[in-house]
Amino acid sequence: MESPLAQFAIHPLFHLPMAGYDLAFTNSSLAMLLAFLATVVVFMVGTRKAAVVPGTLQSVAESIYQFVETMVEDNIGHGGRHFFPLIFAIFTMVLFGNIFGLIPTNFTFTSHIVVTGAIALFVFCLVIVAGVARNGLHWFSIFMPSGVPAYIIPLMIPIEIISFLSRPLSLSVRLFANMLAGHVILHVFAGFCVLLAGLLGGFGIILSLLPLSVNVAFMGLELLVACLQAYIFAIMSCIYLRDAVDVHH
Amino acid sequence: MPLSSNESDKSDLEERLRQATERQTVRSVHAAPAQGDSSVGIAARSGIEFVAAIVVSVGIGFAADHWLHTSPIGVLVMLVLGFGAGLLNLYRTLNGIPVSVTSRSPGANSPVADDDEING
Repeated sequence: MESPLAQFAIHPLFHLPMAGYDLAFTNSSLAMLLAFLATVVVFMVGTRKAAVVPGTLQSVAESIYQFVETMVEDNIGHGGRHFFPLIFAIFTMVLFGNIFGLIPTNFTFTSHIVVTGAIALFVFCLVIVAGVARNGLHWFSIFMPSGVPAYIIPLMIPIEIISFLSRPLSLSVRLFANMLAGHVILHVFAGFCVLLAGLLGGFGIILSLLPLSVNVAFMGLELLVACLQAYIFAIMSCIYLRDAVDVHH
Repeated sequence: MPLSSNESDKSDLEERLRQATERQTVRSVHAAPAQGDSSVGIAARSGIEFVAAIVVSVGIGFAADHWLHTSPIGVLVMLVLGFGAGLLNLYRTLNGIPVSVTSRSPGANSPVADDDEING
């Protein structure tokens, strides 16, 4: 049986040497391209007819759009509309990446911390850049907690800064760890089926229905996790971006 | 049930409509500090918040020690600060719970309330 971590191996599909580096098109790139194309197709086809009574694809497109719109408005507040395209892109990309990763033999690009970390660091840097651009140096007052006694402020400011710095880590690790753990569990239980059937023959095949049914249940759970983690990733980005918009704490 | 099924359906619908409207107003009142609506979401992300602050903090302390040759001091100080930051993160994450509990409580009791009002 191959290692449960072998499914996360990245291998190049074709090489693309450029400026001394090999910018290979890998299976991860292919999965990202698939997720991107699926998003484009859903929204292009879904919004083409714009019927009053929406069809299947149109209601999928509309409900995703409305979902993200409410999320941005509730969590970033007024002045958050500039960030809507970004949050929408992050949400759809992560959502389709997670869900497509559940299709057997398909690669899950969100199970790599380099992918989730890149998105999280982008959001993190955007909070600083947009915060300073909108509020000037006054933005740094978000590290100044309000309503605490003066003698405790020298302690609170470093704590607030550390809390701020820990955001990209918690944002990226949460998504990557959830996807990694889910796929490892699915692989391990699938491996039980193969082992039982291989070792015990006919009786083993009947017995292997047990881990198989567990896997079916886990598949449902993983579908929930895939949607939930995309939602959490997007909503946490919203909450972080809120700091760039309003500074009155 | 004392009422005919048609009438009870109608009053049931009206009751549910009233509750949905109520829930909507409660939610919009509490909308400002909302930190995500689902309690599953809060549970899923509370653990990592605590650990992330400590890891980042100790990382900074370790790097500072490496550059300034103050071996254990930086890590020790930053460990304590990181613990504080982790608790702060945790506190902020869990603060989202009361909001979603108040906005959900009318819906959670609805089946019981429905029956009582129809029968009485």
